[in-house]
Amino acid sequence: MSNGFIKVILVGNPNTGKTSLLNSLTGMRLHVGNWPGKTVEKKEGYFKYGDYDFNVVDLPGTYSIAPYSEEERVTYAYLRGELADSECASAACHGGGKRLRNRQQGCHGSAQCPSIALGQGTEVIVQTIDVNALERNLLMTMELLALGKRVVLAFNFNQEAKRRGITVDIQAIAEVLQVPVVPIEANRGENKEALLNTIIKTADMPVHTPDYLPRLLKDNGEIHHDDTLQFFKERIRPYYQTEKSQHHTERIDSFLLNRYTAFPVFILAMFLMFAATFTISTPIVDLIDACFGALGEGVARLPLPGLLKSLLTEGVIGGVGSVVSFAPLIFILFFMIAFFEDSGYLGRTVVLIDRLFQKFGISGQSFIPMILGFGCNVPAIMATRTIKSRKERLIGIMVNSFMSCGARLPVYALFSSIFFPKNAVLVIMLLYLAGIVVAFAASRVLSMFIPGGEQTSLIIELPPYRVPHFGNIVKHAWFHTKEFIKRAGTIILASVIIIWVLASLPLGVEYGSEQSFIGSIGKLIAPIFRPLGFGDWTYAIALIFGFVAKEVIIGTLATIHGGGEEILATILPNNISPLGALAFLFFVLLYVPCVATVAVVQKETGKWQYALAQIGLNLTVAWLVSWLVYHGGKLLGF
Amino acid sequence: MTKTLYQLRAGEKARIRSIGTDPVTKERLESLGMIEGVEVGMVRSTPLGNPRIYRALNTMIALRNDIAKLVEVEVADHE
Repeated sequence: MSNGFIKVILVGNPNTGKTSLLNSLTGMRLHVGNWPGKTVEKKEGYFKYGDYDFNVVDLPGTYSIAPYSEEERVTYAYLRGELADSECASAACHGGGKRLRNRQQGCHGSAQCPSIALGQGTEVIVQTIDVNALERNLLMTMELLALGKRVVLAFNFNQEAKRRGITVDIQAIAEVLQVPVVPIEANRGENKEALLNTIIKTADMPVHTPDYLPRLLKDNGEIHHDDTLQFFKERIRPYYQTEKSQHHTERIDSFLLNRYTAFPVFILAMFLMFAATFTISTPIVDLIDACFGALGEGVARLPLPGLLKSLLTEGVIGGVGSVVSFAPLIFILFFMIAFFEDSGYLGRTVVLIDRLFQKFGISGQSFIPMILGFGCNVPAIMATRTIKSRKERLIGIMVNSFMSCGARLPVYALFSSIFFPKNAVLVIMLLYLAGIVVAFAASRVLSMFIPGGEQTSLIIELPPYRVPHFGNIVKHAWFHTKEFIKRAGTIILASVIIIWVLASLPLGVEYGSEQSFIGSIGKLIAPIFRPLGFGDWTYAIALIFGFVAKEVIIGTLATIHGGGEEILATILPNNISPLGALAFLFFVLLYVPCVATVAVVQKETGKWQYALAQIGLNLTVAWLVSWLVYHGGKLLGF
Repeated sequence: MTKTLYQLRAGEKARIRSIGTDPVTKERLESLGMIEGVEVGMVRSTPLGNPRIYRALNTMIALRNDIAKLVEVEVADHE
């Protein structure tokens, strides 16, 4: 048998396990790029099975192929053949999409072009279906069939349905629908082979249009929703029985969305998230830091030329090591965020605070990008694409960098453990809350200035609570940790070397002293920060380099002072008061977003003016708030 | 008896009669399962009273009250 080429197009409603299926089919070797001319991410993978080469293209999760948001427009255009495949080679590593975990995964060099020529393979659409909400999912199936394409249905979450007393006669339903159906458990990769075999079989057969379909179509070719439901009732219902039992989701909601317990639980969950992130990671961070410390001492004893030795100990080991040691913190943070997202709780938080958001001129929909901003602002800003109103989306983009991203956390962790060892978690919580409050206030102000009044309402599905798949979450957290470490080895290493050079020159000057180049630059800028309580020139330099990436702030201080956390703990208290340190942390929280964020703001808004306006906004707000913190604290006698 | 979705109490069920929103919103509601003729239940309110949570076609949907007021439902008369 000759080799065939099958192109699988994955579609499905959100929360139906599409991402899990994609991961299990491609083994996470995904190629992430953008749809040509769109800012929406395109994920695809290539693999061989049997005699066939497969190309899996993942379309954004949608409820209908009729477009609603920009992401859904891609699905619509692609399925109608109006959107071509992009050049494989030109695909860049961009994030996007609705869910944080989907983003950037697999864009780490493994993005090869397929060995086979990108010819026209046979197209097979695979729709993932949550059998727990079969009828709703089948509405889209009808839309797909109406396009006249080969369709295979992957029924997912069968175990869950069984537990809930739902009985599904898959074979009978497949016969009624005249479409092949394969039961899978996408999370565990079960029945993958059966699905692939069915796809192959379907690809080998001519396109079959079910005979009932014409009756369900309107004149314009769209699906009649009510007729379709009637059809299900008569033909599918006999094979799909649901017992009337209260779903565990409703029981959990009656606690998590209860008038009295909802907000305490919400705040407690947030607190636990940060407390756990900080507490669990601290011993590991200290251990890694101690290793770098020992390494530095070892290198210092080697018979190396003084200059090289200084570069290695002060720059590479001190600077990069101080950043890398915070990798466990990043891992646990992303683990926590993914856990909340995958459990179904994140959607509830939107509902909880939608009303508050409304008062600030934004909708609860803006909350998910904000929470994702706790991880990284770049994918979070891309996630604002799901916000329908243009004005609201613009606000969401502009204020997102006030949400404290993971790269800022190491700075907080370092300073808190030095200056507020007893209240470290509280200080960190305070900073995160301050970020949220400032984001809200800024939204309110911006909504008065940004034209366009259309208010969109909130319509969201609340997915059932599900126990997150441990492996998926770990993979996701590891992916971001790897990026963090990779950044330490590239742009942070580069920054650190520049700092080291500037701190060593002009020749003969004492390393990292006020007389060095870096000292002179720092002293030039430092007066701006004197009223804020951190007038020492080293902080000015750290903030400038922090524009590259926020964790560079630590790397800079470590390089200038020539050592990791332990050394900083003895030096920093000499040039800053605890109150000054707190004001500094507030400044770090609010001042210019990193280069990557500025770039994504420009890309998403399409205008440099917005990116520049954001820098101005952030710097002003940061200066004012830090001033208030410092002088307010002084007044209170700290 | 005809009511709006907004007037349903927690636990109450009804059948959707008409959706009086703009066409785009209507399309959105339909793709989530809120289609004329479908049985819809009010699951629960939220701590701040808005949005509220409904269930249709075994899908939980959170809707703001301004939209729920535009959806007309038919409540079966009780015995």
